[in-house]
Amino acid sequence: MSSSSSSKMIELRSSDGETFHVEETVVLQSETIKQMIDDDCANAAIPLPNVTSMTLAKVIEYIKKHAEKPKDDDDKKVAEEDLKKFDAEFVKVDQESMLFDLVRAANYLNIKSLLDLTCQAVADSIKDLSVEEVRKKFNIQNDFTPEEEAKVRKENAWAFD
Amino acid sequence: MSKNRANNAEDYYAQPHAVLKNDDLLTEILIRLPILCICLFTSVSKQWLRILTSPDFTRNRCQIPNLDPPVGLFVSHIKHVFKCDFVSFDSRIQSRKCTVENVFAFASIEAGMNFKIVQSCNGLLLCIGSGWPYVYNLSTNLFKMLPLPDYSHADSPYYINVGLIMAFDPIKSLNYKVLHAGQTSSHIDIRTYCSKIGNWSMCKDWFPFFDLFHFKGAIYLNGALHWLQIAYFGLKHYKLNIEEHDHPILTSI
Repeated sequence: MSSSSSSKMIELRSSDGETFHVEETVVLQSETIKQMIDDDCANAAIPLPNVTSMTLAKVIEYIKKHAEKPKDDDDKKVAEEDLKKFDAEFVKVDQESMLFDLVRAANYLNIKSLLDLTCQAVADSIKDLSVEEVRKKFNIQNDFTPEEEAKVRKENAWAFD
Repeated sequence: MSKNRANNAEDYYAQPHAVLKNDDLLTEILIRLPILCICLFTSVSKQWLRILTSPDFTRNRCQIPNLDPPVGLFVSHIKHVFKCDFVSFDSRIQSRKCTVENVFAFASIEAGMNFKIVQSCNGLLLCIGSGWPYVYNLSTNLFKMLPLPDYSHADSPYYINVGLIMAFDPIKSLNYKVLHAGQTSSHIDIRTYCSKIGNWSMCKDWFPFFDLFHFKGAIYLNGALHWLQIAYFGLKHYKLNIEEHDHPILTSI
């Protein structure tokens, strides 16, 4: 049993070979890693072949912040507000590709709150766009024939005319 | 050179595509969009259409609360009883003047029977068809005919229908209530239909005429009906708390 004062450290290795040392209590937010630890597969560095070091650093920043425990009820309210602000800032990434990397990492590592947060951020980035703008933004091929597209649009006519 | 540029473009879209081509992850994103986008974005691609129109998508989306901001307002037209104006809150949809009918017909009900929309409340419509109240669920396309309130105790020659109002808040409860206010020769009484019980019940209290004059224009919010009425000093805000259906509490603010 690890003592509460000094938590056991877990070593994570990103796809590009960088290693990160994170406290076990923090890293348990990832269901995937928790499973590995429960199965006793975490004695050596855990390889994460789907996550780059840049993305992993961001994920660790997130789970560290979310592992902070408030001391009392007053502190709890302040901490909740603080966490909300942190989340809002966290998804303001310079490059949009990072947001998608985080979605994939959150999914692979099975961190539900991070998946919720990043998917909501992607949804927010397209909610005011037109269909053409969505296609352009993500380079999505329109695979409808003109007739098919007209039919789909007609079925949702109330939203268009 | 041109090959280089193509590679750059591929790199640029590699991360989004790795996510968007995965049905599960695309679903996780689309499920968080407001309802208007769900309708609009069906024509983005076949994959988006398939996901957005699947029954699982609709079911899972219901479990995420507080998604949909109002898209617009239907405002009853002053001159045309059965028509309303649509005031859009979204630039992708145009406002329309006096072209939207607040009367519609169900295909499944005998031809020629029209329903007038009395009120919309958090996704349910309260309608009147041939004098009977109906509750219509737009998202499931199902409707229910409510029994008529029992007027037998009222002094019938003077009984006047003051208003029919629905109260529904899916975040609080999946049961809805319909309140019927009727005017007798001396006062106003209120009957409540509760979908959980499936019948009307009469509330014990009576209310003075003047207080419920604009009851039919009430809106439901946070467990109470609210309406405004002109008073000597300006507008008066009435609040009818209906948490306990046989004992609604009327206050004016």
